[in-house]
Amino acid sequence: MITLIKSLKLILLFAVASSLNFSAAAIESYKKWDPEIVKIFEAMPVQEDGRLKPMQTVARYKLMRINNSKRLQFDVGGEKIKVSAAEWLLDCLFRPEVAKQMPIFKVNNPDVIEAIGVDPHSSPRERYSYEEISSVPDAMKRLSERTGELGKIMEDSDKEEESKELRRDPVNSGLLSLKSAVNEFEWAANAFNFARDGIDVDLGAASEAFKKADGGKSKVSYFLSEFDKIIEIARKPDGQEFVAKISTAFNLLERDMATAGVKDRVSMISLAMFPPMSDDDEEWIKPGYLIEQLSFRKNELSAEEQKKFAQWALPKIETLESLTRNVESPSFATDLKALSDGIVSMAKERGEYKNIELELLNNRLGLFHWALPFYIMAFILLALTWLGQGTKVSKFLTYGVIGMTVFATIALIAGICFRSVLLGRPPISTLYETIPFITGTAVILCLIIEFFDRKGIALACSIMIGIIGLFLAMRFEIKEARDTLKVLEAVLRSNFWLATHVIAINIGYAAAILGGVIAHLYIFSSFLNIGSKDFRKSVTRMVYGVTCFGLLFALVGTVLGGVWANDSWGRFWGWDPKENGALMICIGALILLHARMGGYIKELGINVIAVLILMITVFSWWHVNQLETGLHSYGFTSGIMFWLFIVYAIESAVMTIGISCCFFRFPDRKIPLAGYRLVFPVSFFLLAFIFMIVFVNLAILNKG
Amino acid sequence: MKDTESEGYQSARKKKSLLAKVYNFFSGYLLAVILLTSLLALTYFGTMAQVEMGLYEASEKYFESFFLVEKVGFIHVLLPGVYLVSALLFLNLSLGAIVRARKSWRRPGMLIAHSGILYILLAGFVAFHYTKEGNMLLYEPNGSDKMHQSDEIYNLINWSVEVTKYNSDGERELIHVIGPEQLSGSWNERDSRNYRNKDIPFQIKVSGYLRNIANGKGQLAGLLSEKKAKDKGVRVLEGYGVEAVPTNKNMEFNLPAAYIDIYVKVKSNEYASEAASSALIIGAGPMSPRPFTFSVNDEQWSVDLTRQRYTLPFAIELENFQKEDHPGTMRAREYSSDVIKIDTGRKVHISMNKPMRDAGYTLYQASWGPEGARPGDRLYTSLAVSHNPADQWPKYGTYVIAIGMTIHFVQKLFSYLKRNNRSRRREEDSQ
Repeated sequence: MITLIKSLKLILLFAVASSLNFSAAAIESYKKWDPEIVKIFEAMPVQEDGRLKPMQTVARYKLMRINNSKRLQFDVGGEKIKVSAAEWLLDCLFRPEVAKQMPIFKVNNPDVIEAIGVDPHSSPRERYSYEEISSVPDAMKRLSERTGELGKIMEDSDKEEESKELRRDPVNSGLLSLKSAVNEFEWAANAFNFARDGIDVDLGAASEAFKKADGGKSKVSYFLSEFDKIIEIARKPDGQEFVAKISTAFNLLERDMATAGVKDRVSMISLAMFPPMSDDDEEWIKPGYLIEQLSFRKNELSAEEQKKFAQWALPKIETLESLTRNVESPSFATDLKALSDGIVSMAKERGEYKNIELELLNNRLGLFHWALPFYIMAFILLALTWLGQGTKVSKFLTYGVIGMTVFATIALIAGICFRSVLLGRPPISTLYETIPFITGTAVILCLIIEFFDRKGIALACSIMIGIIGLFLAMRFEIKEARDTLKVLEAVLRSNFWLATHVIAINIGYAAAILGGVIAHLYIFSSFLNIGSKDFRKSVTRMVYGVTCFGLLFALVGTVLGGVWANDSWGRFWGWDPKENGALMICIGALILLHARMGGYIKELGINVIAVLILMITVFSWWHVNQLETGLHSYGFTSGIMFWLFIVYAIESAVMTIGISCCFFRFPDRKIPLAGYRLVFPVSFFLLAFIFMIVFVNLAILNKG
Repeated sequence: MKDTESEGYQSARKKKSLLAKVYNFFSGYLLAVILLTSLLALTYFGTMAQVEMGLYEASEKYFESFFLVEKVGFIHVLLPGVYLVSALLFLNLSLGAIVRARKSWRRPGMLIAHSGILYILLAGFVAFHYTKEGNMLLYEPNGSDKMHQSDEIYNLINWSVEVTKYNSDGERELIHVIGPEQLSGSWNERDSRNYRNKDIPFQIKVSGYLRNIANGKGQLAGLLSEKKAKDKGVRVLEGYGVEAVPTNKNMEFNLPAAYIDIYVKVKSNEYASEAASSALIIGAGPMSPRPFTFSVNDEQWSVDLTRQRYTLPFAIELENFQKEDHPGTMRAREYSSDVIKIDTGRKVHISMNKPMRDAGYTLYQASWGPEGARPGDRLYTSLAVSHNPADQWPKYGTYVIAIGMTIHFVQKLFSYLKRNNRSRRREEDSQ
């Protein structure tokens, strides 16, 4: 009892301490943006990663890269404030001093934050604000130095081993991800510095207007409009002093210009928010490019073109200046609306706007996020039906389960279709997109089986797969934190092959996974001796049927992949890891079918091999992408090796349990195994057991 | 299906003659399961090995071999290679699924599907042994040179020693190639190989052949200065020596080197004991000819280490090359080449996924260069060319397999549903 009270006290103390600390890291005051402003801002089109998308999408992934979430939450004077991604980006662009106070950087490992000299929070869940880190002398410098050193080694192709070793160190990897989050934040917070700050150099010699400029600072727009005059004065022989000033001004301009993003420089971070001047040009314009073309690269254009460009570009810079300088004034909303309307009408004229509204709708609906809670509710109801099996209530509840599962599945499929329409291509082309697709396919397969079988077995599997699949999709999206709607490489831009090979192979994956999942039921039922012989027979029949179905699609999909490769690279089969993975699934299924035909395995064997095929499918679906070799080079995601080995370890354990049913306890077997007949089961049992140990060890090695 | 198969299996077992036993084994399910399991393990090992060895060496070790030694844990195990397993699988399939299988017109699915797989295995065999492949570089036409035309392709991986004789005008008169097969295998430090040919008035001694002297950045890390080479006991020629650098995972980045000694022919089958000239030659790219030249009996000769090349039966001219990125990114959206087959004047637009097929050759859009080209630079297109007699076979094989499996599984599904309905009806009746 005393220990209980003591520990309760400890917990209370801890809670108080952490809440105190929390308020210390929060902001003093926060004024919410007018919802009208947020709405205008969210719908503004931006070109990023080769695609025009609403600002909302850009903001969401930007925030996700820093904060691992699409939303931001913090305390203001005890009150919890929730800020959407778009609101946060508004803060970064127009009220950077507020954005810098928001606790946004997540650092799980206190050693990382200590390594740059900042005092760690007591709870790793608490985030750090930009100001909190930058206010510690030299903290940012230390961060840049440490990561700079690491970067040098990582770029050196001859130091591959050393670089792998360094990245495995948790402090190093923590520093690298903190640095990239800080960079991302700085780009956003400094993007409109040029418009807000102007040029802080006295250029009064050039013009009276420079003298009149507020606080000795000239607006960039004015500086650019007077650019020729300034150069002229600087060229005069007696302008030594002026030249010194002008070069300072140029340095400032160049820095702000780079932050705002110029053309030709592949920066994912800056906002390409203006449609190009010419209709033939596809690339949208970042604000920095306007400055560059009006100053440093002015001479590339003829006098006539210069004039035309200035007429087009200067009003845009002036609008940004007026926006950044009048954030609190009521004119802000109308100015932003005018800017947005101008851009939207241009985009409409260019025929690029039609998908923006659809994407906003897609973002708002968040269909995949809808599906998950329904699967979870279906699962809870299903558990309730198990409690009162055979009663009327349970029968009634079963309809509820089916209804929710079907509803969730429809939401899932609608989500997949939405994405497909948005990008105008078949539903799968990135690793992310395979997750909802495979989940959806497996769930539909289950529902079809349930339609014929009506025993509730497949229904339970469908819900489990739905939950796991959608949860995986959500985690993966956060982990990658890149827009999941992607434009495609040249070789993938073939709707015919994306619709045949890719779909077929993913249906194959889905069936192989489903077979393995159903097989679990058999193994546990055998091992724990629950469920009837008939139940196990139905399960085995399902596993067998699903495997046959999967084999058909996996085999045809694999060979079609070869045919595609033959058309694009000139070889049918190249032993590429992804190809090998698909081949291994086919071989696994073929082993199952032929061993069954030859009478070497019976019910139990079918189910154990189905679990093995599940493992092979996980290998082929996720693991080969981590090998960082081969042509199917999509989705190198760091940090998932640990989870892969955990999955392998669990599945090996399931196989071990399954095989153990041969000799420990096997309700369906009449004559016990003995003598030489034991050789194979025993060796397979040992093999599965060793695998389990090895995978557990590998998981421990890859942790962190 | 299952019952008929196991019946056949048992009746065959009753006959105990040795030949029948052998036949049964080679056409049986046991061998099928063993072979498939080996194939599964080999594919896994071969995939994982690519991380360390790269695709080319892993393929050589696992997928193109008869036997190999694999280290599993602490034990070295002798395993059959995929080549051997595939050959046995071909035999097993032909005997088991075609010859021995019961042929019934009512259940044709499996027979059809297995024939499709046999066809694809055969295609793999033909492609492996008879494919000629390489790359063709064609620069954009600029009106002054002929670099936009070519009838030669270069193999990216295999190297060969080219011996060339020039006539008095400096034109190539005779080319003799010491092919990649003669350079392959392991080369120890002191190894040397001699090559003679009746048309060549000298013997070529190749020694100290190294598969690679370049590091990942393309620098000649294996090229040693005279002092370093002497310290390491490496032979020095013209002020340089070479030592091996671990081969690059991407085989096309490897740069070989070798010492060449020329021994002039004295009599019909006798060669001088002293080398007339010697050189250290380093592999050269197709666009940088810098051969080792010398004269024998007043004839100009050169010896060069080049990527293996083939001459096509026709020449190709590049008319136009287009390349387009996704806006604001460096990601290629599309690149394509407009080419003309010179002899017939046939114009073809080659793009990703849309190759040109002509006279048994297939030309694909592979890549472009030079890397990091600025706007306005003269670009080249790189076309991958292959001559594979079994080019389209796998496509037809897929159709056959898909048809066979669909027939089979649909038949099985229907019989399952029929049985299911019957048993459900029986259950309902009994209730």
